[in-house]
Amino acid sequence: MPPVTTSRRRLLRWVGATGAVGLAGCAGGDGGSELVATLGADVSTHDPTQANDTTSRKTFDLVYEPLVGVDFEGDVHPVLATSLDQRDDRTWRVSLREGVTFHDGSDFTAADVKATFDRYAGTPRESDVFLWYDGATIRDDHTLDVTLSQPYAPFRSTLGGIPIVPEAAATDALDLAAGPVGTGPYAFDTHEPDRLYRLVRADDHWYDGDDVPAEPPIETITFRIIVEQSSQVAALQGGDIDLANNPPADAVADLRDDDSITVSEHLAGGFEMLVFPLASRPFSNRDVREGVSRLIPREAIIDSVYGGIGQPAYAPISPLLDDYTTESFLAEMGDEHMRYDPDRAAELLDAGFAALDISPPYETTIVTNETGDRVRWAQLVRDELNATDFFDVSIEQFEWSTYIGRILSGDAHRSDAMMALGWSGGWDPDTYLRNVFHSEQATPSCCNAGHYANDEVDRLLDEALATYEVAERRSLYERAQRRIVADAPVGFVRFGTRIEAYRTDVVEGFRTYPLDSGEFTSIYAPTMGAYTTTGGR
Amino acid sequence: MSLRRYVLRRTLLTLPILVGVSVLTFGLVKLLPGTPVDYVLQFQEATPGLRASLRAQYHLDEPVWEQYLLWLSDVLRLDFGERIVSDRSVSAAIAERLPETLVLGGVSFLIALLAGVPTGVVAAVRRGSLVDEGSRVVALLGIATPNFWLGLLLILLFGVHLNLVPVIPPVAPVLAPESLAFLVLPAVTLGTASAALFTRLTRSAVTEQLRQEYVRAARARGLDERTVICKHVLRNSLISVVTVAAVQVAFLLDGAVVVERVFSWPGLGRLLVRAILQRDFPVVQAVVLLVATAVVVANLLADVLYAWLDPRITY
Repeated sequence: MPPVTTSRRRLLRWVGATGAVGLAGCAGGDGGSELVATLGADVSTHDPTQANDTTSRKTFDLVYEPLVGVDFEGDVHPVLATSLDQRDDRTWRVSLREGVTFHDGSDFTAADVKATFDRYAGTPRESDVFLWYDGATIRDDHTLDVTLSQPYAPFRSTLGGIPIVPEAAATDALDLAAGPVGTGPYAFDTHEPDRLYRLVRADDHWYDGDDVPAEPPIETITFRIIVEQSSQVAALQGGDIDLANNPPADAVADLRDDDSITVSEHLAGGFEMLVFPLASRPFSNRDVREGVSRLIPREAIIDSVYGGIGQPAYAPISPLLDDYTTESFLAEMGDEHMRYDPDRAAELLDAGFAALDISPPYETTIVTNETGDRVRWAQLVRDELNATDFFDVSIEQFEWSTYIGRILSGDAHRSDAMMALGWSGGWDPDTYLRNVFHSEQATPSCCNAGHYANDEVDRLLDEALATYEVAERRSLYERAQRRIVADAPVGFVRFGTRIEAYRTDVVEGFRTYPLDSGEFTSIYAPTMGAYTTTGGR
Repeated sequence: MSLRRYVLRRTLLTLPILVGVSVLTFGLVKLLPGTPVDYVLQFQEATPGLRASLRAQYHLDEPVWEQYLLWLSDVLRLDFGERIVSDRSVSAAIAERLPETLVLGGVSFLIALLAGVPTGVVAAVRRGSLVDEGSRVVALLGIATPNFWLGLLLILLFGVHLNLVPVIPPVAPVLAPESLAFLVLPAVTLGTASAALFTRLTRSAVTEQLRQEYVRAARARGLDERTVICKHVLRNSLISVVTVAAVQVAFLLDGAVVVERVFSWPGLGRLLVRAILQRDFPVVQAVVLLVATAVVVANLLADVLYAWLDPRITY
């Protein structure tokens, strides 16, 4: 394939602009190919330290590169680092790949890595780095020592979420707001707000192995910005786009029936839960909480709300992390404290209400945002609770900012409302537990909305965070999960599934990545052996 | 009072209206639970220090009235500030989307007029006929159909089943032929309710005129029916239609909120909705102010047109 020169690309764009060949999906010429994918919202920033939305982070994956990447099974692969050597509990020596350049032509060195970490201070995403980062010492152009503020077991997988930016971005010399500058296989091309976001193959990406093609087979990736989910599905069926992310559960069955479309799914790192306000009666009583948990009809929810996709959750850590949880452990937790069982629930609620001297029915609400699937599962839980004599529950729906304002404001644990909430975890077990169940993470510090506090859980989570040895960590997390499930500060509902749908005749090699914001990893991730082609075009 | 003085007085009166609108919008956005800081941090761990510094950055730590005056003093210098949840300026964000919304609104308006007025005339002339009854039913349906639903239905029919048109806008300038071709469906969706309104309005105005003495006189003079309707009746009927149409222009601006989402059209409506959801109040303020100005100007225009079209009217 001859290299595509900038002038031809510019000419193509110009011709497209005059209207001769501007239709979406037809821009592919003789030398290159285009993939038309979608984003569910506009990209709000190109700067990793500012990006609070998953949409912006999705686009980072192909433009920026981290030191290491985490593959589809959770294994860590070197990307910009060639090795990570642990010197002691708090020091890691990082050796960097040589001969790598940023899209602006500058060389990638240890100074860029240090500047990348340092510039997180005081930004909205400060905790991405400053949770563990103490400082870095540059030893030479391609080696640096990273000092941790405490022993930090998730160090390697955490690095996978830190896109490396040029040192100049820390000064006024480079403004990432004008466009992202990374070392990745794709470079930023255009952003037409609310319309499209376009990346083009970078000129000389460093990869020269032979596991995958030495340059990405797809030349241009055009993300069309489509907010309305039904319109995204229609655009896929009408052939306007090649790839759709996260189609709504009720559309998946239709897409499966369509011969021209392939549906790809992968167990995701996240769960839905019903959070109890622990400072408020009757939810201050453990029996009441377990009673409500045992009235969550998880199987029915998965069948009727999610079209059979996903699996019941009885504990926080996703089965995606098979080093840290097992199906049998989840089943055991279900049997002991969580599984749907109206008879057992009635006994527990009876005992709980008697202990608190509350005469049923207790009038309360379930707070949820407007996500359709979440509203529907909350309704099924409401119906189960109202079918007993103990509760008179109604649903309160709020738009997103009001909802997060209510849940995270710091006094939701004193209200009488239960909260329907989704939590996205990552590749480390800590991401499923600490933010939600550690007492120091009580709102407004972070996301422990019910203000659950258990000294033993705090101690286990702290110890596990500082323990590098996997078997030892697993046992600490198992003990923490047992304690949490027994205390039932939340009712776990469902582990999610990530779904993508694409046009079978166009897209080849695409794989669904389990975590949010990693959607486009498989388009070209040479160190993970993943790449996608638009073979059919 | 002369027309000129009237226009001058009305123009001066718009200033307090716009200030009132901006105070009201500001207050409403501030009354909404949830702040931009909640939105920016979402479900992330944040130290109290970081929270405080973000609050200070967005001036949320100052009293609401001070925040408002701060905003107002910037706006008087035509500086609409920076967006809170994005690294772009408010003016740029609006400038990028205004042409899209204007073109969509303009095409919808044309479709509404071209479909609504002739139908209304025919319905009035053939009162009680099948055409009249049919147009009444269609008009009622048009007013009663929610436009997001109509939009999705049109997409499914023409974009998926018949596959005649793209479902998402083409990558082309807003006035390029394929963009205008794409705009037919969203414009029909947006214009249907207005077209229905114009039909009913024209019908009643024409019916009213047909009862006037001058029509009988014209017919008695032996003028053919076409001349009577087109030259005499229509001119007199259109006075009320024109004034309503002027006001309707402004409504097309905000009706776009839903249609733009369904058709992925990158206009002001989508910007506004997202800004409200994110509590990005500089954007909300600026867009609402813009729409309010459009409504006020359209109303003024309607009044002036009214006086100009019918010299008997004085203020």
